[in-house]
Amino acid sequence: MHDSKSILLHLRTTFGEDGVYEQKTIDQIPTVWVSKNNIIAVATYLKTFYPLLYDLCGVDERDRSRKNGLPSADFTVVYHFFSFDLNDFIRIKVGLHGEYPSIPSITSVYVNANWYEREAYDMFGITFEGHPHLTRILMPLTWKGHPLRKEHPARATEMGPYQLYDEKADIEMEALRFKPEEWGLKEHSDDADFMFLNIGPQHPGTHGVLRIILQLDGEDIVEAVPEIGFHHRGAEKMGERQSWHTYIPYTDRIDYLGGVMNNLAYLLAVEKLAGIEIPDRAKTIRVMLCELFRINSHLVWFGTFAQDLGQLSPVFYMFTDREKIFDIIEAVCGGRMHPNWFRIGGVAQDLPNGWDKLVRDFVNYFPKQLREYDKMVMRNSLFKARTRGIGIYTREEAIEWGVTGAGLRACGYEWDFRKKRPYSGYENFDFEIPIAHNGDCYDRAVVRVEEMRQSLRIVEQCLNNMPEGLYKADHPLTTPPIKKYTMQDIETLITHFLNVSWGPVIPPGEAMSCIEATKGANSYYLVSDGNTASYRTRIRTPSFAHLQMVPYIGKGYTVADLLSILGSVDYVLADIDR
Amino acid sequence: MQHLTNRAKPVDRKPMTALEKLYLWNIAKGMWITLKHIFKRKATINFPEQRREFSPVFRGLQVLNRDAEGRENCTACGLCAVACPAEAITMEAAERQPGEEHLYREEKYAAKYEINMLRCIFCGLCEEACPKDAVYLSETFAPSNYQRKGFIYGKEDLLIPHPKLEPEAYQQALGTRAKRQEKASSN
Ligand code: SF4
Ligand code: SF4
Repeated sequence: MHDSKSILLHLRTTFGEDGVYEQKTIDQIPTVWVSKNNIIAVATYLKTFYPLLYDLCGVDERDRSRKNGLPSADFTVVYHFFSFDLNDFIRIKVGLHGEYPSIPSITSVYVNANWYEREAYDMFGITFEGHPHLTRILMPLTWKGHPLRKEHPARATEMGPYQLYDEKADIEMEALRFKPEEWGLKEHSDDADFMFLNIGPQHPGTHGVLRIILQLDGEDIVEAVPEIGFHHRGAEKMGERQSWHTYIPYTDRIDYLGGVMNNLAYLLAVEKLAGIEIPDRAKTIRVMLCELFRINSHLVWFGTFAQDLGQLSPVFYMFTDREKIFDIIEAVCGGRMHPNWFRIGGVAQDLPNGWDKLVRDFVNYFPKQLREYDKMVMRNSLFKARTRGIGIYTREEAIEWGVTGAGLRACGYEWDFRKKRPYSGYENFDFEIPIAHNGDCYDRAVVRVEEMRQSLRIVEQCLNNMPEGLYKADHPLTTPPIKKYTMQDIETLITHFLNVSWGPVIPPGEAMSCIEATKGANSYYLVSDGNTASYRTRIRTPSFAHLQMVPYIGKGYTVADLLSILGSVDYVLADIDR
Repeated sequence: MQHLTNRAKPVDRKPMTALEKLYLWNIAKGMWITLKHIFKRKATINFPEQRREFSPVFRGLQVLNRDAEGRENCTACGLCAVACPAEAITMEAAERQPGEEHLYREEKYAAKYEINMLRCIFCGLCEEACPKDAVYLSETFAPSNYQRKGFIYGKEDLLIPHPKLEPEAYQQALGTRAKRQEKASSN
């Protein structure tokens, strides 16, 4: 039996005591520093036990204070691997030195490292040797500098006014032109001329500002090259600028269909760092809101997916139902798509009077609708013809490409982080993990539709068993502190002043959260150096991984099938680009 | 063309019969569904003649509050401005002069108080930050405007009507406010 201990031991014996340094982190994820020359060997060894490259990111370590005896480094590359058998993560860190360091690429071991390494290059200027095509991925090709380096300005106002004079416009346009040879694509084969078709960035089928360039042989897709970054807002950079508290509204906008679910992923990591225990009532409120948002997000996916395939009506009916959920969300949170409602240590307010009636009405109303949609969409033969046997991938391929969420469950793997690594009290709920077996577009739809039913079950359980108690933890770092006292006593007023003006000071350390978000596994990896803002905020989103896989599963299908595939993957561009 | 043989899994792809290929039945079914919905209650409203009700906790346009005597609550402490993630609030503080006690509740007040509605994301953090109950988000939203400067709301746009001088308008504005407080205190 292998566990993380024996794996560590093995790393020690193979690479020597000096090459391996173990770091203690607050989130209990085994964290190991290895040297740059060993990274491929380490990755190859780990792959047997940790088949999923969960995340890969860079950190600019040059300004970090309170390193607490960590090895010296100017930059680090941080790898998160996940093992389904051990049900655990392992975090590998490689310290790098120099202004623009380099490190061997692990794309030969984990294929999905491709985009992550491109991102790290784009953001930090770290070169990955042996990478098949190391170019910028999120920033425009003409961008100067690497945004997540500490010397790069965080505000547009620090950069001088933006001007687009004629020559510059030409340069920008030229940079946007797709050059097949750069991607190793041929214009013709022995017996055919290929056509290059540009889909997007403005196209209804891409569900957002995404550009996909297709190499076509007639109607068949030979190769596809997605181009992302049009929706990039620098959310990770803003995490270093906003206080821990005022970053919460920014998280709302990562997966904009997931609403408070983003708050949760972020706050779980912050609360780990701060050591806050959340009261049961707050936990249950959070779960209820999250599940409502899951239904909400799935409804948008369901409607637009059907619409992509030619059914124009369902989306309107589904948006009407979604509006009903928004009524609940508005009554509880005061906002709709961007509720910004969870706080460090709990939620912003207690549930309003009469919330139970609203939720009860919805719980009673929705199953009938789901049955109708089942008839309308899932049993429709046109819908089936467009989705069955299209966009198939196997469980092994899914893991290889870092697929999580419904996409993984549709290939018969019963993996749901809510069940396997429960957070926020999910262990207390009774629900099932729906799975399907063929891994095609249809099965991904089947899984999501059933997930809505399960979410509704969870909401109902929250409704029937809402615990009494505090909606915010009684902890000095809870932000803002419960206001009842602020108006009366000067002590709390002073804390309130400090908490609001500087924001809470989160103890130094590192923590990563991992939740089952609407589209798959979503994580915030936070590094604090004991300041009022995060030192590094890394957001691992499911959509990024899923889109990277699209060219692989899209090959050989027609353009029309590609739109089924894109619809069935269920991503939003804000979640991809952050 | 490369085939997907190595990854294909058995799925049900029976060829359709000629009758199925006509899709007639499905078209008829689709029409029936649409027809049925014509007679259902409409889910939409005729904006702007009709307006939907917002929930009492809805976070809309900000209001600067006065106390019962009509004095402004705000003491220009600036907490709302630093709490604002979008940096939408600017203000200038001034000292209350003798004889102005009926205008401002505290010794210091905001001579200028502006919120840029184009920056504001209606997150409500200003309301949470305010120690004086001076700013809160109300149940309306910022109307559209043709010019940028129309979205910079100054004190005159934000202040709640004076309870003594314009009691009617104040009562109207307070109606929602009172509802809100009732809500807060009952929880
Ligand atoms: S509105 Fe409140 S927080 Fe803002 S300056 Fe006035 S008193 Fe301070
Ligand atoms: S609602 Fe939020 S964004 Fe708007 S002014 Fe208040 S704190 Fe700033």
